[in-house]
Amino acid sequence: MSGRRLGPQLAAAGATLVVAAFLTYAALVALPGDPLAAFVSEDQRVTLDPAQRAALERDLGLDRPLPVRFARWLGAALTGDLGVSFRTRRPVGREIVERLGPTLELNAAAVALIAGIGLPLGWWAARGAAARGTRWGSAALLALYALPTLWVALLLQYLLSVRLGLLPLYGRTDPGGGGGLATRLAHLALPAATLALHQIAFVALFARDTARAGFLSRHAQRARSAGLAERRIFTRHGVRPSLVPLAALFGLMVPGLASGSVLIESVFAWPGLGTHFVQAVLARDVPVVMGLALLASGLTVSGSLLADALAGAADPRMAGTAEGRR
Amino acid sequence: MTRSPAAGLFLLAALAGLALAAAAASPLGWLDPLRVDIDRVLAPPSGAHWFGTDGLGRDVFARTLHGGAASLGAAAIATAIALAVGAALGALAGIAGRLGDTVMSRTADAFHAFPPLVAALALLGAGAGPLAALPAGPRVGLVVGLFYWPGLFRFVRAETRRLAASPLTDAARAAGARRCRVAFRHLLPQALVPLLAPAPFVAGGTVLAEAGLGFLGVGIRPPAPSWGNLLADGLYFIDSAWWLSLFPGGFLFLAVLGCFLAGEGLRNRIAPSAEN
Repeated sequence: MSGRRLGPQLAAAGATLVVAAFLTYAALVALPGDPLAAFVSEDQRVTLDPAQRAALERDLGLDRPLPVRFARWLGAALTGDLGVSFRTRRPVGREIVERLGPTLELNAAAVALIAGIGLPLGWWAARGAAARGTRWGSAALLALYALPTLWVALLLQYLLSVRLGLLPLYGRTDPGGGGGLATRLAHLALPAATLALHQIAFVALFARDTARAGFLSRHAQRARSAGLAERRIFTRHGVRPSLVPLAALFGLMVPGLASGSVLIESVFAWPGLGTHFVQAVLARDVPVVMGLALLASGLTVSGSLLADALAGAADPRMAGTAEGRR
Repeated sequence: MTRSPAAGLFLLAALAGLALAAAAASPLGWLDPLRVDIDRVLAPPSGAHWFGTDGLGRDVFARTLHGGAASLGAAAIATAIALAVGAALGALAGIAGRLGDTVMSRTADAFHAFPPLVAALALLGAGAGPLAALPAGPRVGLVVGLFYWPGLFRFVRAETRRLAASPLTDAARAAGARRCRVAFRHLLPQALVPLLAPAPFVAGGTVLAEAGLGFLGVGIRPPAPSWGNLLADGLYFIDSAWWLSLFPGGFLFLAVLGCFLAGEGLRNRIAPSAEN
């Protein structure tokens, strides 16, 4: 692997994360008029008296200058201490760990669907376009890519759950937490499918472009003139060279999956990090919001590092340029 | 279909035209998105109410068109901000020295490290500060735009770098032009043409982002309609009123599709080699 480049890349990723953490901190703690808004009701009927306010500010370290506060928060965050939730008074880190399982389950299922459907779909479109010169396959993929996740989630919910009664409407388990594997899968089906939808189209479009470029390349034409079967040309010159860039693409999917999880978990009342995040935002629970924003940015940066490393391993000229054109 | 941007641009123009027509008609008493018809609560689509009525008996057709004005307006602001910031900083970073380039690139990376919906949700939820003074539409547009510029920044920076190495730069410098003038007068205009291809994809992303934020309750808030908060209504009445989801979501889909078709068409115009 491109070991020579890995050091500087890791350093750059670390610097990016520190700047991202500072942006989060500045935007959520320094910028708002009142970081203690969670303790005050919007109509000012519940307020803090000056003594309570001073005590809270001292407890939370808000009486110190901003750079000192940021350094202390970052230092604590690096040791895994993300502070205490305003709402529940429990450690933010522990709440995140508790909610991690359902979100991982949802995303793992979605990634399986993306790889299992998106790749064959893209290759099929590439072959079709090259063989028949038609662009309808491409337009259909683009339409699939443009489908709003939210809309599809609501329509499928209405059709499959409300009208046909085939799948449960929301939640991860039946009320009371019971149910075997079949029930769990039934609950997982709709959220995972809708979360995957957007990325399926993205992967298919990318797979189509790369496979078609290879399929129409000079190498492929040379193989064709030598009498190789079209099928064989397609797998060797279309599919095979695009496998590593496609694997790298999965590293760039993190932000899309994170944003998608927030929406999908809210639609289906899925008890994961997405719903936790939305609840924290609406309750102005600053420590939880910061912890989760930091987690999301950390995952995004790791994802693009992984993509860079994969792209660099496949083609040394590509090192550091894994970001796709879209 | 994807060879020319015309179809996508036509679709967008039609949606924008409908939204503007609704905005112009409501002072005359037509298509009022807030008028309550208490005798027809949750009425399915009919001749009187083409898209049905919502839980308060308001006309969903009027709300969808007016919601389109709000959503498309916020998305347009977000796209304009992303383009302006991305292009200006990208051109600067393209000609800057090592230090300036590193600072700007690292900042762009930091903004890029946040999933846009997650970051915008956190920022809008924190709410207070200078953001609170803005009306909902521009506020959402500004916050969404803040997290969409880094991709365009990278694009313009790379393009400016490429052009800066060309004899064109030497000629301008030899004629006595300063670095900033070279960047903004000679390099940026050339870097802007290829920028037309990713721009519609960014626009489509911002339309989706606005809808997500409105749906989650931190974007444009009811009673003012937006495609996002109309879909939240759709979820609330999911067990009875399908028309609350189908129509606003359908318009949202058409808007995003228009953006993407325009983008794919422009991409094929600018770099025809990409398509066969």
